[in-house]
Amino acid sequence: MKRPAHILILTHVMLAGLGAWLALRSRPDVPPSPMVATISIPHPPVAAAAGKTCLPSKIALASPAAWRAAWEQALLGPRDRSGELMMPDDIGFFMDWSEVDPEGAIRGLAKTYAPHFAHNYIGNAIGRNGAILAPALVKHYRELKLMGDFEVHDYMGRALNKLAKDDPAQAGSLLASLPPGVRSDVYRRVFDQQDRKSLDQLYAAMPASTNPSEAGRRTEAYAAAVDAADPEHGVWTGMVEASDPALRNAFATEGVRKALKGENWSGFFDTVEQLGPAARDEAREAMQSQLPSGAFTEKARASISEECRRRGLDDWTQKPR
Amino acid sequence: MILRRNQRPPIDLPTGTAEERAAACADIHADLEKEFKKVQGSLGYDYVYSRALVARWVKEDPAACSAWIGAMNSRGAWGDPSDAFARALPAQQALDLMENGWLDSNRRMALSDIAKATAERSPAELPGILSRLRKGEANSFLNAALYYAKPNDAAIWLQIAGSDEKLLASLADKWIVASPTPDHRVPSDRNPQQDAEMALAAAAGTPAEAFFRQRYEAAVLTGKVDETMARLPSEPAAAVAALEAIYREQGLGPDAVQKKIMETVTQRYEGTLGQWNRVEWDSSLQQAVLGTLPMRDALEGRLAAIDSGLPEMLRGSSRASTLRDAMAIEPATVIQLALDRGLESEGVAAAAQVARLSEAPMTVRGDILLALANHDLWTDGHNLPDAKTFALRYFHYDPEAAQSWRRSLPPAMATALQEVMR
Repeated sequence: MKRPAHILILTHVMLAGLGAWLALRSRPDVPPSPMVATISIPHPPVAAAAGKTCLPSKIALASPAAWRAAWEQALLGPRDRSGELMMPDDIGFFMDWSEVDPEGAIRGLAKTYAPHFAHNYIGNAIGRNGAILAPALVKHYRELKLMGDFEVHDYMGRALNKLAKDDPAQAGSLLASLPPGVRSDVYRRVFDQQDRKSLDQLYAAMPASTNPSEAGRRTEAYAAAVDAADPEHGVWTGMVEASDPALRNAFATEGVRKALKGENWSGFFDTVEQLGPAARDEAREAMQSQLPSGAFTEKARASISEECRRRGLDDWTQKPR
Repeated sequence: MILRRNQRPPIDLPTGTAEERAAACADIHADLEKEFKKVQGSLGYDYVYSRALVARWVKEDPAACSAWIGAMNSRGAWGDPSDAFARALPAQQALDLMENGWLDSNRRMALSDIAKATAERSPAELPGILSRLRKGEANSFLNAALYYAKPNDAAIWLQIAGSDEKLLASLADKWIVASPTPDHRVPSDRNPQQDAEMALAAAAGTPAEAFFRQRYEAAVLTGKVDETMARLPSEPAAAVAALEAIYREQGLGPDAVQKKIMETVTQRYEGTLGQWNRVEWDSSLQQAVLGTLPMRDALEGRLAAIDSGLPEMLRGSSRASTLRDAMAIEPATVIQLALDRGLESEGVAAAAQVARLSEAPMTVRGDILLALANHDLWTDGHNLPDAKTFALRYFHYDPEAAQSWRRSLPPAMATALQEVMR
């Protein structure tokens, strides 16, 4: 929903007025003039008003080229020990830039040689403007060669996660446009803490996959996120309703994990009882593949056997005959 | 009157007549019972206050206090009684209780608490406690206590250690460390030199004497080497000369001295000290990334500076890291330059290192291997990734990029990999 333009202008003028008033108040030799408040300034000088270091030329930096030139000038200047640019409020500058010209900012970062510091720029910018940066990151991530793939994927996942909260459809189509290896690295991040509706929308937007490891990580991340979004029923309904065997397997695996962690097998076996014979075998298979892990203590195995006995099922801690 | 936490009067040491002191103990007992009632009523009890009461009661009447705590075992619901009370009790009293079955399920934790408290406050009691432990418990008890072993108590510790080499080595690790380097094992309020001297003095005439003396000499040497190595990035030639003098002083022959320096340098130069003229090099790399300075010029400048500014000893490892840094940015240029300057094996080694790094971007790894392939250098025996394995991985990661990468490979290789990537 857009705010009416005149209110927007009014807020900006008010902010500009406040900034000017605060700035002038600290210089008693200049008499405060009510005329100043009516000058319209495109970028509200809020930072200056709060007493932070603000680039003197920030207001002049209206064009993408001007932002880039200022950044590159700083890149060629001296650095501190960690490799941080010696520019007043460099992190703030990058955050502002990524708000005004996200693509330019990402490409500027791609030209930044600061192996031990560069992540601070993008990390902070995503913290503030993740949703704005997501499309730019998806478009230009290949240029970020000075960062490791792992790092880039992590940031892209965080940005897409924020976008998905505002606009799951756009996030879904961006995510779907990524190559499978990249997608499989970001699923967990993107699906994390989404509500059920966005999750289903994101999941449905993914293309059919021919890459087994990508598909596996997708279903796994989805099942885990569904559990987080609806801890009461999500996984159990998923086990019953999933139509695709890979997804059913992911839900069953997540269900076993959940039951083991909560030391409560009744939800899991309640669900198992609702499954048809084939799906039941699959669920048992999912449990079998996890059983050898050290997490299944004697106590856990005993409670599984007990639960099976109570329901008249085979003992699921044993291999099926 | 109910006093809230922090409003309670401080628990004074009972003074006065025997009757008054007995009355004070009775008050403490009554207060603890009140706290206990809260526990039974599922209310939070005042943990700090209860511990203070126990500490106070134990001083006045250890038997009665221990008996009360011991009886608590069956009363449950205090959370972890070991955490709440074991450390408030004197070690011997706690052990008495434990011998009667108190804290049996939590014995390991309780013993570790006792070990730490005793080592910190009254290490003289350690031998007495050790003699009361069950079989197999001494090791973990000593490990916990070692954390608080102070050189001031070296005499007691050496008596405990006897000729146990492992324990002596742990003590030496704690007390005898190279002085000028900041060491995480040494708390900041301690002076390593004083600690070492104290430990040596205590060891005089014991089985540990020779061992500690030897460790001390090694630490002094390490200290000197550390100091010298710290100068390496800023004044490389002087530092190498100083290193040579140090090792010669150890009575090593010329070859052994060279070998030793080489070892020290390769182990520590890059890993811990960073590179020589790092700032200038970083700035050249930045210019190369921006395109204001051709990578070839940047590299040639750096390699020339290494040859003229560094002693022979340091040139190899500096060249290697230089090639690696540049390789991650512009592989084709680096490999071409390495070939032109007769640095083929160094160039290929740098390429192999970056190409095998799992955190290096896939595209960069692809570019490096492509640059090698263009010079017919992506062959076996260079410790490079296998062509088919890499191509398949790249293909799974990003099919389109991988295909266009394959098409830019030399024709024979591109054809050979076509089969893998479908």
